[in-house]
Amino acid sequence: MDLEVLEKEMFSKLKTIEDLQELQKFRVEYLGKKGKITQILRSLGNLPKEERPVVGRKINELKEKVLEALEIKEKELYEKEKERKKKELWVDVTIPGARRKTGHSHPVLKTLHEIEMIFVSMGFDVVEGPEVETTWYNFDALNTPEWHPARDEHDSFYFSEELLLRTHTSPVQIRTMLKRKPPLAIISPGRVYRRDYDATHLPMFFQVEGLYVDRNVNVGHLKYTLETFAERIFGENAKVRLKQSFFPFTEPSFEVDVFFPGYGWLEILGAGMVDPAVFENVGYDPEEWTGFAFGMGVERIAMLKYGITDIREFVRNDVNFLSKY
Amino acid sequence: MKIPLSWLREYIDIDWDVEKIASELTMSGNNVEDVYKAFDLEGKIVVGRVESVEKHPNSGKLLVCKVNTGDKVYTVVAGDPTIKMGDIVPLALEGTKLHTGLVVKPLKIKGVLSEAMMCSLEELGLEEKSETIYRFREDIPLGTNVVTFFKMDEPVLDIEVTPNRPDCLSVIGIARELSALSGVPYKKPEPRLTEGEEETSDVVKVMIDDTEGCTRYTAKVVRGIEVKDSPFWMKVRLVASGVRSINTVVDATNYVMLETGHPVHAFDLNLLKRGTVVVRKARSGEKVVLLDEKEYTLKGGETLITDGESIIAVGGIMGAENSGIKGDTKDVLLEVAHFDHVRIRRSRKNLGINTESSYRFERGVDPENNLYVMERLVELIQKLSGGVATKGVVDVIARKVERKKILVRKERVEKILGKKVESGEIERIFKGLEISFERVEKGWEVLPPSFRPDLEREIDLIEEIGRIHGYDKIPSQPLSRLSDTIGWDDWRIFRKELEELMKGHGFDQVVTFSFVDSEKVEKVGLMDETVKLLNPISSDLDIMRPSLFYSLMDVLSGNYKRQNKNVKLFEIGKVFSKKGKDIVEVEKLGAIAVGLENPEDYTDKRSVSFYSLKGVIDDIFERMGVSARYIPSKLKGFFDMRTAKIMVNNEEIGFLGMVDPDVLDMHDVKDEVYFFEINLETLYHLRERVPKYEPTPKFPYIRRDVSFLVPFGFESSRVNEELKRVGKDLVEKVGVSDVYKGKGVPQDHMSVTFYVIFRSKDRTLTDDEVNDLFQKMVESVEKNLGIKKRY
Repeated sequence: MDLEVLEKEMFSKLKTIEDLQELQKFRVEYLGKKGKITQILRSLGNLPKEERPVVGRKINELKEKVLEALEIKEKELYEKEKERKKKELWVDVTIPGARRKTGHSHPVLKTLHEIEMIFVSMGFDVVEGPEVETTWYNFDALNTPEWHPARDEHDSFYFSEELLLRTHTSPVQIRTMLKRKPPLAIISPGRVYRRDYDATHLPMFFQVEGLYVDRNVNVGHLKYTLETFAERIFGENAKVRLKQSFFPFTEPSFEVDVFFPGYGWLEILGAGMVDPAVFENVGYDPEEWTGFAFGMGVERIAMLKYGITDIREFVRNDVNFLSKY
Repeated sequence: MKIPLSWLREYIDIDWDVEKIASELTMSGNNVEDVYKAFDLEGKIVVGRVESVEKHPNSGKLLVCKVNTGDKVYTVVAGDPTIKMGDIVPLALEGTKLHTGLVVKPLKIKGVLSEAMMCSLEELGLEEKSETIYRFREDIPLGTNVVTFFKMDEPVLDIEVTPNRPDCLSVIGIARELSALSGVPYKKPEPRLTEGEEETSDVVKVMIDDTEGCTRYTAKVVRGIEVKDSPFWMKVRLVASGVRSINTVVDATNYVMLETGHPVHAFDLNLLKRGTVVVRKARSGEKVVLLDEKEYTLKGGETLITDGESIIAVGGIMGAENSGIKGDTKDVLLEVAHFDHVRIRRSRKNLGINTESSYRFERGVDPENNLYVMERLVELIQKLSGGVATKGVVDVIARKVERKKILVRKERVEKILGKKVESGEIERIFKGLEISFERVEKGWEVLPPSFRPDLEREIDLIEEIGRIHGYDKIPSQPLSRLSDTIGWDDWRIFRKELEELMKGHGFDQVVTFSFVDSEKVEKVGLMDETVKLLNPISSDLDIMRPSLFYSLMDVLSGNYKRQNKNVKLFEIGKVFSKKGKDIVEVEKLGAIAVGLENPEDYTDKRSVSFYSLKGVIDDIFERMGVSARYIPSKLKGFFDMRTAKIMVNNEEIGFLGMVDPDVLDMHDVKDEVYFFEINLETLYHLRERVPKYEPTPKFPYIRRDVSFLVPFGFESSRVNEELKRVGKDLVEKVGVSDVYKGKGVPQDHMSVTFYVIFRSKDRTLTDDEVNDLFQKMVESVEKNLGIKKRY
């Protein structure tokens, strides 16, 4: 075969090759064991002796040339192939992520947790107690005997004359004081119940009550504690003021306002110095020990913190509502 | 307590404006909830005299009047046939908005232009319902602006008085507070009355049998009175204070009560059978009709005012209908009494009524001001209704309400308040509050005034010092941290961990009421023993929940109805049951799910299933080192084929199941719903607090899979156990990698594929030995459990 023809054939074929598989076929066709060039090389023996070196050199040159071209082509095709494969791996980065469902916190419990953490960091223990209480723990021990008009302010759910759903978590303070000796610093979070149901009241809500008893505890310590709490939960600029009020279990008693820019002073919690009668009921000597107590509704704080305007959202538990917390 | 500002200013001449008054009162314990106007009137209402009354030319019912306001005569069409020439009336001029909302405009009525409008008390906001135009009886110049002259536009303070301060349920009491706060003296009215020759004791005898219920009873009589409609100023004051105007006598009693805080009562003397007042305890079953015209049956123990025969009042609560003031009453017996606060509270609870009188007596009325209050009452009655009072009073003191002297120690004041208040300031505060004191070595010995029943102990006086001195003046003091507090205990940490796990599994945390609907519980039937509330807030929240299921199902259903159809919820809360007389509360974890596992994951089309919820429990239990057994069970409200009790160490810890389709129908839910509930107290005790240490494996594992054909009703956990039993130590773990029903699997069968992880602790296993062992294990399953290998 004419080498020139062969060369032409090979190079024109090479041009049309588009992938590595074809290139492999091409390699076999011309350079393989039975390939055309190989065959020509093998058939060199049939040529006259003097022609052999010339033709041999020419063939080898051609082989070199083809191999070189092949290598270039191969590289080129490899790159092309790589490019093609890469394209197949394309993703649309703007398509939303395939999200696995995770759960959300309830905003009231999230707020409650935050409150707990603030007081825990200030050295308070978190204690709990039963939701079904006796009237003694819920009222009498807290200096609210049966004849006391303050009992009316807690419209309660009863099971019998002596058993009711606690109207505050203060009974936990009584239970704790009966168990432990002073000094103590506790908060008691939990569900409490009052017969009230409208846009601003739920018949069941969460409360956190705190109690701090030591020697020489005074109103100044109460102020400090509540100021620290307000700053941590509502931000550094939160201001606090104490308004004289009345609770049977504390004296003096306060309604505590927190200042919100844009809203003014809002009532957040009740507080006071533990009434000596309460200490006497649990066997603490009020001459030796003094203390303060405070209580707050968690829903109210959650509403202020998150700007929630309808308290009933909290028990509706719509998953769209919950998904924000 | 509602107090019109002008009334307050009658007793204290203070230059504070209403905002300052409100804020000072609020900070010192009398929370001013609102400052508002009692009457909704705008524009001009003036005094006019009716000059002429003529029939309307085009109407038989209407009248055309000329009304003179001094500078102008208005033509007014009126419908009140009682209007007469010479009547002095309130005339609302053009543009005036009346309390009823009506705006006065000149209007042609059947051809006659009516330029203004004569007003009734209803239109002025002084009466619920009026029939006629109001006629002034007082001497008042024509053209006087009614609204400004009678101060109907002045601010009213609505004060929330705490239960310990009955003295502040009066205008004088609030004036006294302002005086203590400002240092400006206040003054009480000085009654002037006229007495006749007749001795009170000749007219009326008083006997107190019930000395426990009634400590003191003071009586006096006014004869020859004329019961009338009260003058306009009186109506305005009472209505602005939240009390209806009735007649001159009743109004006088109410006025005195509001002014002094001491409830009083007036009887028609001539309706009493004898001139005797007997105060006695009620017997059970006695009946009485009170002034509200209702009949009450007494429980016994109420303090009764009787005339010796009939009951004429339930003392301190309400008068009886038989002896009330009528239009023709001529002689009145006036009562200023003092009743025991505990007894009043019990009695009014027995009767189920709450009156202005009982409200005050229940909190504690001044037992020592009877004579002053009586004089003031007589003065007012004479001023409004005329009459002559009997001489002196009958004043029976059954027992004296003792006042104690109290030691107030300087050192204790500072210990509680955290600030050293100067002695001079403390004494100023005592004086301002009318607390008499004597200096003693440690501080003061004080005697509180009789109108302050709340001042009984040293701490009560420290509070007085604090509130008048001002809490804003007390500096805050850092708290010393106690050394032995722990913050959260294990129980709280345990539940917080659980919450986080549940959120990790995709469940939203919810809060639901602890009470549920008994009717629904009865219908569904899951846990039938229930704890009833005596006084539920509504009939569908009448029992304590026996399971979290009911609340969670309601929340799920509510969401479903609002088109939220992929929902996973959990709650940690208490459930309630009865144990004899006791109510037992147990904290549980409940979880409920419907719809897609991962609705926002378009690569995952799975819906929640029995197995996916079980997976949540398995994960939680594994993390807590607890292994559970599941026993197919029948539970009311749940679907038999897919419900199981969960047992740990032979103790039932909870259950898991698919909600019965009938129950779903009840809740309008159309997809499969799964629920589980776990007793947290049991889990807390069973959990492994510290996980066992397992060193990281040194040698590779070999895995083998095998599928078995399992008939329905077969418990595959047995395969698991058998594989482990035969494989012994070389088996590290057995698990399920596929569960399949359908094509290629015979009917009523499932194909369950198990995988086994083989690993040795001390060498690398060979394929051959694993193959041999695995074959033995599979054969053993087939032979011992009677099921066939699929492949």
